Amino acid sequence: MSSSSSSKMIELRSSDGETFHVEETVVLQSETIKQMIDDDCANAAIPLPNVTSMTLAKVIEYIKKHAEKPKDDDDKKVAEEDLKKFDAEFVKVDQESMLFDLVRAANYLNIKSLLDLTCQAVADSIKDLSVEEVRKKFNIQNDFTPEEEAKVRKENAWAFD
Amino acid sequence: MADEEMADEEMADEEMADEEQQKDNQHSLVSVQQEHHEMKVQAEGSSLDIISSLPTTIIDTILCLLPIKDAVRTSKLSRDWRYNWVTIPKLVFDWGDMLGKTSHGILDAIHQVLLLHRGPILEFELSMRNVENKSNAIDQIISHLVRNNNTLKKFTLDLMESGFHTDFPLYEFPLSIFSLHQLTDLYVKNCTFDYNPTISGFRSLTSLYLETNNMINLSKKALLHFFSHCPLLKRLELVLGDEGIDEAITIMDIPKCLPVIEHLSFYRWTVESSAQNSVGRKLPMALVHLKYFCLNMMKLFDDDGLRFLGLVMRNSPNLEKIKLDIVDDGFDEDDIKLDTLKHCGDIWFEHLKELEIVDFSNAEGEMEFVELILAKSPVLENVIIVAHKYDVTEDEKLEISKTLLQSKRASPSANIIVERCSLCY
Repeated sequence: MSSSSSSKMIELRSSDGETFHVEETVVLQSETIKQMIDDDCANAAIPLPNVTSMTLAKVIEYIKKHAEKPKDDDDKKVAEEDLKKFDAEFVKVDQESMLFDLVRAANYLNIKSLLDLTCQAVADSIKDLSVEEVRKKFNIQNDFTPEEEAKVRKENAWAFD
Repeated sequence: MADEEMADEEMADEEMADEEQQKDNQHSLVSVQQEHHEMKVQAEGSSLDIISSLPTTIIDTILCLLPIKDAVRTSKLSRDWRYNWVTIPKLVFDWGDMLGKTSHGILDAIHQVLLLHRGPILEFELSMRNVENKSNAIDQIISHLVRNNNTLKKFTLDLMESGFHTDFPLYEFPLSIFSLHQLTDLYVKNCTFDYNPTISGFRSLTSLYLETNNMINLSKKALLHFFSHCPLLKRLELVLGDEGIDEAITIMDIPKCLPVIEHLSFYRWTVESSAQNSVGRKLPMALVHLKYFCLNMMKLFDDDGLRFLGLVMRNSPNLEKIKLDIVDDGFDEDDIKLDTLKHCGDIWFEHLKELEIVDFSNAEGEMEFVELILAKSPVLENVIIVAHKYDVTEDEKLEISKTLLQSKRASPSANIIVERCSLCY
């Protein structure tokens, strides 16, 4: 199909059975897949049982963008700015759960820059929220007894002023 | 009465229990982790709590990215979260992040954090104002870091008295700081060392930033002795006041005490080229590793400053970037003499990729210097000139660009960028 393409294509299969074709040079940003290719395990479609097609599509969008190379130095600065904008938009997802799916996928696929980006987005979303707001945002069950909670508060009093 | 006694007893009991709890933290951590695992299974089943079920390494990463106060506050989310934060390896206490906390409050926060923290601390940062009479507390933090398995790699201490006093006594590090053998990066502002000749230095240190706004007068001999006891030092930034050192550092001093230096940044008044060093002269030892050289508060009509710069350029065969931060102290521009650099006429800057000049004032000497670099640097990629908008008009800016684009260039593809800004600092 893509035999005319200059770069080898790698086939990825998501947990829900969808397949994606990505250039090898692009997909090498994933240390996990790189290892599989190095070990010669990438002749057939690579199964990614932990990543859904929706998440995988997003991940591929990210690594494709990050694989673009500026033609010359003039474009370098522009490209850097462009990439920054892309990253900022990329983590603005409609559903909180999508961000967490991306965190898990970046962790599983071992794509460091994507893991850093998504973890930073999670951290930014927690920052400046009250404890109650964080619990609510992530459905965290408060299983402390009131006595325990008072004790936690006491041992970290400075942070709750 | 009896009631009161009972209440007292209860309080005493609670306090004892508190102490036990603290001693038992290590133990509770293990049980919490077990609980954590159970919770995780539970959470995956219900897929409700999407954050607590993340792998521990990711939770650690997220906690590290939060300001310390927010990280510690997660302890109150649930039992699962209570001790998640206590193993974060990077602790940053920034005055800016903790507005509203007095220096006493910040030190108290550090005390509470260190009491609960477990495991290695790799990075520690404290920036604080109003530090008078706080030496003991800071000493204690440092001895805690030394006792904490001595794992510290990066240490930042930025202290400042409030207002513009320059005569307050500087905080002096305890000698135990030299026991931090793993330390690779040290950033200190307004602190001093005991530059005693017996100090052992830092054997792993690769990066040092040293700044004092104070009018202290460091001994050059002691300072060089200190540098030479940091044998792996690759990066040095020295920011001292104009009377910050008793005798200027000369070009001859550098290869001896900084044999592997790659990145060097000085203030003009900290260095001099002593009279016997002409630019044409080669040093017995070249700065073969030097890639970046920055001179701050430089005047381009200052002969000795230029001679120093020329010596660095001639004796650093692998130099890739030069940055000059110019200061204009109102001398008559007619004094400009660039003869000094004419001695550089016979050499090529084989590896120079970038020249950056900040606070460019469009004096004749400045243009000549840029032209020299353009003519002598075959792999030059960028020339960045930033001028203050009060010194250079838009028309003058275009004129500078035009002149430089027409001048002789050894690297035809070099970009020349001229910018005007309202604030160069």
